[in-house]
Amino acid sequence: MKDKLKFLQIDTSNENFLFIKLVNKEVQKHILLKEKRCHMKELAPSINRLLESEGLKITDLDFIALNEGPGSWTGLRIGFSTIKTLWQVTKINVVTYSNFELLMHKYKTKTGVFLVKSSNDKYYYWVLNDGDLYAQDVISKDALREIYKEFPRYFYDENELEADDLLIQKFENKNFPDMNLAEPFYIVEGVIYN
Amino acid sequence: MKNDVYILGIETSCDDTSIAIVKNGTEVLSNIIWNQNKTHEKFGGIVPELGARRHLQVINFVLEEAMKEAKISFQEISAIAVNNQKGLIRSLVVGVSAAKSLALALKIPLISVHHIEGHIYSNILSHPEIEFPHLCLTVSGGHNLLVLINNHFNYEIIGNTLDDAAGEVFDKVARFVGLGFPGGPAIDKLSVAGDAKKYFMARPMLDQDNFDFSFSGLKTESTRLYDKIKNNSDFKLEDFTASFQQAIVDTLIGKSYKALKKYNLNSISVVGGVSANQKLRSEFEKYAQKYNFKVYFPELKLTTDNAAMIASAGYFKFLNQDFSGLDLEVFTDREL
Repeated sequence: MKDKLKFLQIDTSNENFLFIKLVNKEVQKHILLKEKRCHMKELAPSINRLLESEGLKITDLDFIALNEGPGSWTGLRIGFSTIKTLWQVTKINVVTYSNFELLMHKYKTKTGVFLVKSSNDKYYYWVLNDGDLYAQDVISKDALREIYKEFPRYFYDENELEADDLLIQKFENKNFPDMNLAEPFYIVEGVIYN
Repeated sequence: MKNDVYILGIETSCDDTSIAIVKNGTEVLSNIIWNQNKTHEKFGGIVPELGARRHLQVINFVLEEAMKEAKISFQEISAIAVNNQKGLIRSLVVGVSAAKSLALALKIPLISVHHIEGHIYSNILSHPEIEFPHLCLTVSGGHNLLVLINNHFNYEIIGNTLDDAAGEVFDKVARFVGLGFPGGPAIDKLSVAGDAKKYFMARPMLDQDNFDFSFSGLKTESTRLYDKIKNNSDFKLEDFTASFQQAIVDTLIGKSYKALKKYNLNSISVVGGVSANQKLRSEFEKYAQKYNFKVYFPELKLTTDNAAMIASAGYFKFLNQDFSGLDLEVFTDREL
């Protein structure tokens, strides 16, 4: 099954880079742009470039996988607005995945502190104990040193982007959210940081 | 036979999510506006992050409604026009991303439109008979300009906002006196019953030999005056708001008339959110009759931020084949 699928993976969750991967059956191509806040300028042309390089149209894909965060709110909104609209026009299947899910899948664990860098030396975190959500919030680097010491820690960064198995599993399970209602995984309310 | 041109316009610069379909530049097939006032009113102003989240929540529904009302299919759309050049960055990116996505999926041109350009074209939508050269007063919460329009997309800004725009001052004074947000319509409504001559407030920079605007002094003057008189036995809020409103209206009209005379023009458009103000409309009409010039206002539904105006401006750019790439960026306040 895996070698027969065609899909795009889109990650706009980190303000320091943009990651797009195209899987065209056995061919894999990706773009990793390490440029701060480049999502607005680069996302749409990068999708277009990757598809054209394989002679594909959006409708040729089996699905699109979209990173839902947590992470850069503006970056995530660029990803969501782009993919929600593509979905609306083409009715392409879309699966979403969080950075925490990605870490859990990669490290095959349901216990730990799962961390994603936020701005100003802070981290979004999820604390899971045997799959049960214990806590989620934003925390400073200093405060993090003092709490949840008993749990192993997993950090999301540009070395943790690949998630083919997780994405294919979601596609095969038809885990398609209603894209009309889909939103980034913000974790915190929008008024706190204004 | 000329093919019809259908432009899909998108406007998400502030707190309105709007998508419209306009046929051949002047026929509005749909113009859906999802207003966020309820989201922001408890904060007394726009909260940018909440606004951006709301745009993303509703944009698909607005698009669906715009297509349904226009009774056309995506495949019939000729091009996508989007405001990417003035507004809150967090809000703009939602609309511009959607616009790029439509252009990418449908393989049609993408057209960049400046927000102010959109407001200028709101009047061309309502009055296609307008001829150039022409003067345009744009007046809202975010901008206050006098623009000399020599031809399509050939503009000269002859007057600008030095500080607060008129709409912003309406909102701030309204909030100060307890009329809530947005304040412009509330002041307009209340002032009908007021005596505009009861209190005198300055007409800022009206005596100066330029066309710039500065309303922050009037804001300070009016709020200080309010504090001083609000407990007087004969105080009526409607007299205060009517007097304050009159000061703004006189300033806008006075500056505009000076510009008409200097540039030897006989017609002016008044556009933007404040152009819905009934006092401004009636006073401008009176002045135009007295001094023999024409004044044009857009239809009321085209005064606030809307995508039909973006689509209309986009149509004229489409005719010029003035297209943008998918790498289009957003700008919070790019010069017109």
